[in-house]
Amino acid sequence: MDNPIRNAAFLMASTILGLGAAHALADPPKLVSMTLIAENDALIPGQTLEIGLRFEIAPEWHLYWPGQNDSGFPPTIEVTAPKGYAVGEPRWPNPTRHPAPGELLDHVLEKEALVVVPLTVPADAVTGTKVTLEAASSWLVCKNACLPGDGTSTITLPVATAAKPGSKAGLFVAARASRPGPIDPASGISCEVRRGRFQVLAPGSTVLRFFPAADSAPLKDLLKDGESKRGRISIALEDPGPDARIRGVLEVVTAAPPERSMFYSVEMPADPAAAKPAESSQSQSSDTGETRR
Amino acid sequence: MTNILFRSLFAGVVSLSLCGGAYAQNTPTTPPPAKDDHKDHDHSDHDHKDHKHDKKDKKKAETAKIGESAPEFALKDTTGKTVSLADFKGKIVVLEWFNADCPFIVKHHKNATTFNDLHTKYNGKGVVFLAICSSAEGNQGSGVERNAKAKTDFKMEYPILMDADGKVGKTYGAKTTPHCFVIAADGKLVYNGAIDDDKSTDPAGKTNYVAKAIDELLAGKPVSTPTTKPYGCSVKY
Repeated sequence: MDNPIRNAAFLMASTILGLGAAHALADPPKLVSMTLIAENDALIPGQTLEIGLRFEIAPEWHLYWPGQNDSGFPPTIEVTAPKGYAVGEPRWPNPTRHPAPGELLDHVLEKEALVVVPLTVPADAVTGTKVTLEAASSWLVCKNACLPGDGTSTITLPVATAAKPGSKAGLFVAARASRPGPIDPASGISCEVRRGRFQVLAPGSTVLRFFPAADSAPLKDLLKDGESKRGRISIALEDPGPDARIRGVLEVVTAAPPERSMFYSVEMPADPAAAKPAESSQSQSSDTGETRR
Repeated sequence: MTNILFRSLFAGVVSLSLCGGAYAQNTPTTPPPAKDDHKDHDHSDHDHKDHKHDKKDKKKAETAKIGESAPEFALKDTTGKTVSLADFKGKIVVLEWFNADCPFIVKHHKNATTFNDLHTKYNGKGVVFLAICSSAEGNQGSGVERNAKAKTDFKMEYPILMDADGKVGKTYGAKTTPHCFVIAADGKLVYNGAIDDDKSTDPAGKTNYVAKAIDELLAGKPVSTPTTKPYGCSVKY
């Protein structure tokens, strides 16, 4: 294995200079590969399908989830499609906690991560033609070193009147199954802000984890308080403004064999005075974002 | 997730223009006391108030806090010479956490000359710059040899201090490279945070918080932005 550390400075420089060779040089050792994949094997006029940037990450290395982290930055997601195609917001997979010496906490993506992007095909797309989509991403991949990387990937799909699942469709099914949904009122899980703390109660859980989004009201001491084995999380808020909202992903692990994780999206005012009972986001739910781990 | 560059237009070149937005949020990052065993941390929910009080009282003298005396240190530079914070009494001291191979350090020392420019600007005005490398042996950017070379390659006119056991880094609560601290002439810590407001690996941002703090100190004013959220690679403790 070449010494990735020695190469870093040069790689960085050549990337900045826009030399075409930069990507080729990034190959040995290949820490991250990014491939654009699609759920279906064809594009249907007027319909929305899911495409995604599939990141395969070398063991022990990680990319960064776009939330509150002490270091790093998340991969950029850029999708290029022909005129008339609408590219939606990326949907990120759930992160894992990555504590490191020096009281550092990052929320990271390991092994494999599919960032799903909805793509709406224009109604006037001509069947029988072929369309090429391109994805581009730049990332920082870290372990006991941090290295920059980037990649592009294209996929060409026919426009047709019917489509069937492609060879990678299973990855999209799995991504949807673990996608955080609203909290099911029947689950007994409750979230509230009390005395300046964001508190979650999840009776029967073995582990609770909260991953705040980048635009969430800042939370303190996440290293200590962002994970709990007591069925209850309590995290201090960092002087939230009147309009600040707590946003993020809640992971609830239950032990009942088999052990499994459920992921919920949290979105609520950081100031309890601003909370109206009617706007509680945990009241209507069918999709619990349930998945096995 | 407002920082994600996301376009559906035709865009040819892959660039490293990453998170475009400025990190506006000022997060007072009170450095917690150093601990090594995070993985085995018991994340229990004891009474937080009491716990915090405990921490504050016991660790007060050992951690870096805004408005309090900056923790003393004595570390060897790449030539083997011992450099102490006490050597610079009466001067403004800028600490830069450093890892020569971290893309963010490369950004500020090679692609842009952020730190050298600051040094050139303030060197004659009673401001001292010290880079500190807390990379543990074998981790990225570690070792005297690598740092001696970096000092030459980056044309740095200030020393890189070796903190391989990470003690000084953990005392200051250094989280990233570059994580910057500014110590006023009276020895008090007045700034803890990012070098500037562009946390991507792209060339330097618009507001340089370290320059702003130094300018305010030199003008006899209080530092208006004492803390920001540092960005960069994690310090490789």
